[in-house]
Amino acid sequence: MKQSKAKTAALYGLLIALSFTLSYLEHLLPLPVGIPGVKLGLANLVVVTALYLLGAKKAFPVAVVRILLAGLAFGNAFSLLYSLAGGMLSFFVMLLCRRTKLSPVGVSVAGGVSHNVGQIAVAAAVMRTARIVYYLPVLLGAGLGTGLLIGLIAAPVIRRLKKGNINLHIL
Amino acid sequence: MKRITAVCLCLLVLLQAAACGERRDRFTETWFDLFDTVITVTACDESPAAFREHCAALREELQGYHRLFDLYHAYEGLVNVRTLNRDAKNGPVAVDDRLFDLLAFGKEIYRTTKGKVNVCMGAVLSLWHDYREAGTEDPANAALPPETALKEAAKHVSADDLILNPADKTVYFADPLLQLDVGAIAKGFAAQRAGAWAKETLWNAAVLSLGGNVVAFGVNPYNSRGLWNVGVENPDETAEDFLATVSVSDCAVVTSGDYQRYYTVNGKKYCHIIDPETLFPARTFTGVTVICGDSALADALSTALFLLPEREGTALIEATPGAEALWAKPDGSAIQSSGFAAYLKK
Amino acid sequence: MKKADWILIGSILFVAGVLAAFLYFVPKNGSAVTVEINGKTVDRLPLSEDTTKAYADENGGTNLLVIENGKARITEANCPDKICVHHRAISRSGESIICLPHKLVVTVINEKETDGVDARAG
Repeated sequence: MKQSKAKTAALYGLLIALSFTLSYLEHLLPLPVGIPGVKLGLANLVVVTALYLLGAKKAFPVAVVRILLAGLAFGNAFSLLYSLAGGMLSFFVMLLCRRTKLSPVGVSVAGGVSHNVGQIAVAAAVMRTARIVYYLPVLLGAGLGTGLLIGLIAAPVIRRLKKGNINLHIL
Repeated sequence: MKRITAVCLCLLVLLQAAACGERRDRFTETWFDLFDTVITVTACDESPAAFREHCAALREELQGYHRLFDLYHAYEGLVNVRTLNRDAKNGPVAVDDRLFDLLAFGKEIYRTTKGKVNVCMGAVLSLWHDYREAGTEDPANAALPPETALKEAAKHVSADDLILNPADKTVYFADPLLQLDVGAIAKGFAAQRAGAWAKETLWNAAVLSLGGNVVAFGVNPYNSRGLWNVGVENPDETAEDFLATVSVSDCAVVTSGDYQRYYTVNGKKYCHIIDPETLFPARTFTGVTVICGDSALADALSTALFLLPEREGTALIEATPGAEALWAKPDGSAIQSSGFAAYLKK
Repeated sequence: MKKADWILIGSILFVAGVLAAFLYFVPKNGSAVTVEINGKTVDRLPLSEDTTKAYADENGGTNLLVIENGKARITEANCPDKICVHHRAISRSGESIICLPHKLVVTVINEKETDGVDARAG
């Protein structure tokens, strides 16, 4: 059905604000692991949910704008670049995985892992060193853990939003 | 669609901004014909061709110092250490600023090291040099210089007889038998000056090693902390590893060791570092490494610490701001100055 | 969660584990040596293969390089000082054997890692 521009704008605003808030929360409570690039990726919760409920076309701008905003607000040019690379790869991997037999949990895991792979690939290119691959096993594990957590939260959210009486047609 | 285009544009701009930061490759070149030692240059440069061109410039710069500080060869139309040893007893000789500065530094360091580093010890050192050369050539008949000859030579080593006139940059030997030997400081001094020049005109980041006189500057993009790793040679040549590896930048690391130049007489090693007091090689340490901001000072200090007893050496290094040292003892153990550990590679 | 999810998680763990084993538990010795004569790199040999190879400079100076059990050494040379022959076998990234008379340098490099030694003092 055709949506009004105001509704679309409100929807994007809502989702971006939500993911930005989650980014902020994460910025306030960093994981004390001492490895660059390891974070919970709470904002991915919004992206995974949006991907399932709204489709790729609407979830994509949410993902990109969230990364740009959070990067500009909490990071520097380099961390922004890493997040963008990770975020984009993660988004497209999740897009592909959604078409497979994977449940939202699996999709989120694939997203979490590919986010870290994307980050590390760009970091290796920017720093022109292959040495950074030493972080890769750790980041794979971390991406798996955080992706799993996000997926386990996202799955019931998606299920309830789909089944429940929430007025989804505005979406 | 427009939105996606905008995002892609954003990405492109960011990627380029990040890419042009440190995108330089790393190259190394080695030379064998200057300062009677091995010189290696490692630097980050735009292309192999640019690196070669910059190396050629550095080589020419270093060659200038090499010729000025050369003890054994004269060069047409050039006043150097060799010609000073021949002519400066006859009257003041005008010299190049670089050579004058080296000798002025030599006089200064003579005071700070309590006479352990003395550029006027040429008469004694040339005796050792000749016997060492002969002993290396023909190990079966290797001999020590006679003590009487050493003592005779030691009468003509007073730094006070080296007269430097800063006004017209002239050098004069008040003692006609005085002979210069700048070996203890020349490489460090040249590394310092050439390194500073290279930083100014050639590279943002590089490490030069003049036979173990290492000068490192700039950010090493191939190191996680941007530093240069410098391996300190283990005097015990049977050891598997470096004695230590230090991570530095914008500073010098210099080692003086008994393994660098020596010969063997009756099964005993005699190295090239001669104590001005005993006129014989010191045996307290097998190697001393000094880290400090100035390579010339580091070179002089490493020689001084090699010769000074442990307590006096420690006092000297602790009194020199920004300088740290590592002493290797003949039994294989090593001691460090109070701040040395901070430089060890993590 | 579905079966496919478990398969995905399992395979990620497997890849991470294999990578970790490979990256962290393989000893950090150099992987190869470079041979330079008169400042030009003339050869590069892996330390993993036992080899014996002779090098000659333009003046007839020769050095025999032997790679054995992951270590490189010079076993024969016709230089006057024989310092290169007496030098211990080298295997760690950054170590080198230098034959000054023949202007020959054998340096251990690590192709994977650039965090070895950049310069040597002494």
